[in-house]
Amino acid sequence: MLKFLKDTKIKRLQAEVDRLQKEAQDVSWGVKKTNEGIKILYRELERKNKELKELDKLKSEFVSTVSHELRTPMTIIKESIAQMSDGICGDINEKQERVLFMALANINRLAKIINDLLDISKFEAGKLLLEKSLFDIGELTREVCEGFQAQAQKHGLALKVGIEDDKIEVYADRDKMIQVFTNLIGNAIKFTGKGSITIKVKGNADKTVECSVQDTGKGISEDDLPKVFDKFQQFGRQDGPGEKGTGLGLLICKKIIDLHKGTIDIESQIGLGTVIIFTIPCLVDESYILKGEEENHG
Amino acid sequence: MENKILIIDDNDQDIKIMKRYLGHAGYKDVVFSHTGEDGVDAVIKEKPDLVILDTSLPGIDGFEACKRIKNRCSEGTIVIIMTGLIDAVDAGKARKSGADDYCVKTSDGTPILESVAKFLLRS
Repeated sequence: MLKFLKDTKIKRLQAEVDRLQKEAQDVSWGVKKTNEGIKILYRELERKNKELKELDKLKSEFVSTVSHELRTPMTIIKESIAQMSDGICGDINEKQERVLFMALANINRLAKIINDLLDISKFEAGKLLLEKSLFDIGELTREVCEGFQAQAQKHGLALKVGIEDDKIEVYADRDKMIQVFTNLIGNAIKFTGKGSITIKVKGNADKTVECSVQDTGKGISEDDLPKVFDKFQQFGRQDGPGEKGTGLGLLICKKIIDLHKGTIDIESQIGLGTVIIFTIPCLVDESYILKGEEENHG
Repeated sequence: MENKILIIDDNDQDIKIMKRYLGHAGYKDVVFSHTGEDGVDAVIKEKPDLVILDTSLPGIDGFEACKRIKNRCSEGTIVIIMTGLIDAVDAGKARKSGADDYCVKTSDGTPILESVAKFLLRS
């Protein structure tokens, strides 16, 4: 009897061991298959990533080539219209002048689009190098704002400039900084119906210079704010005639500021307006120039 | 005689792609079902040599369908469970339900085609 019970227990234990062994085999098989699957998926992801990079490169090259090819004939058309408009090719009446003015305004818009596209393709290809020099950013801001006074007046807007320090020297790409201010002030004018645009420049204690462009425009919703520095994003664009952008301006600003190792940020409230604040490093000492040159050349 | 393959998948697009890949690989006799229950019936009716079974299906899932195919139909029918979401627990479940292989779905279908070739050449 005792032997029977013992045998039964052994059999039961053996069955349990067999079951657990089978379970362990199943789990081990599962882990092996999963590892194989992960390896396959990883390889596929790598392949797709490579394909996407190649496609992206091709797209950038395409945009760059097309933009270059468009620029030459466009310059010729623009020059021809300007000559006609100036009466160099003969007298024109008022109606013709209006038509030519409209044509020129649209050619200028097209030129801006093409230049923005070229800039973006250069940024994406990593081909854009900064040509840094030493200059007073306060003075540059005043110059850019001066150029916008007429446009602001035409829109019934007050353009206020506040430079806090006498001289704020930065070691940066002058033309690119002009491009940043031009984009930001141009946008502010475009999307502000009434009120003012305020541009401020001040030196910070952390050895950066802080520039801001504030408007009293319609503002951008909280949902749209995270997308403002994305490609081809436009908010508050109105249908019909009027100034239109490319949706690339803010992205270009961000890329330029990033290249300067600065920061750019946006705050906005619907109905109250928008402020874009960017900072770039101030010139602290000359070793910064040498460091900057080393980085710029690679 | 040509090998017959049954695909059980609720996604028409996936079936179409799989059929095309199998066709290119020389497997022309391919039938399909959209649910686990229909799939089990199709195994009885069509007597396929191999079944490619998706894990997630309306009604009974792929693991239960595999169990029924192996228990109620023919144990000799090869079942490959395929999935878009690879997971070790699911892989173990696949084995427990009697699956012969567990493959990940990829855009070119290579793992499944390799598995099909391995089993059908062997048989």
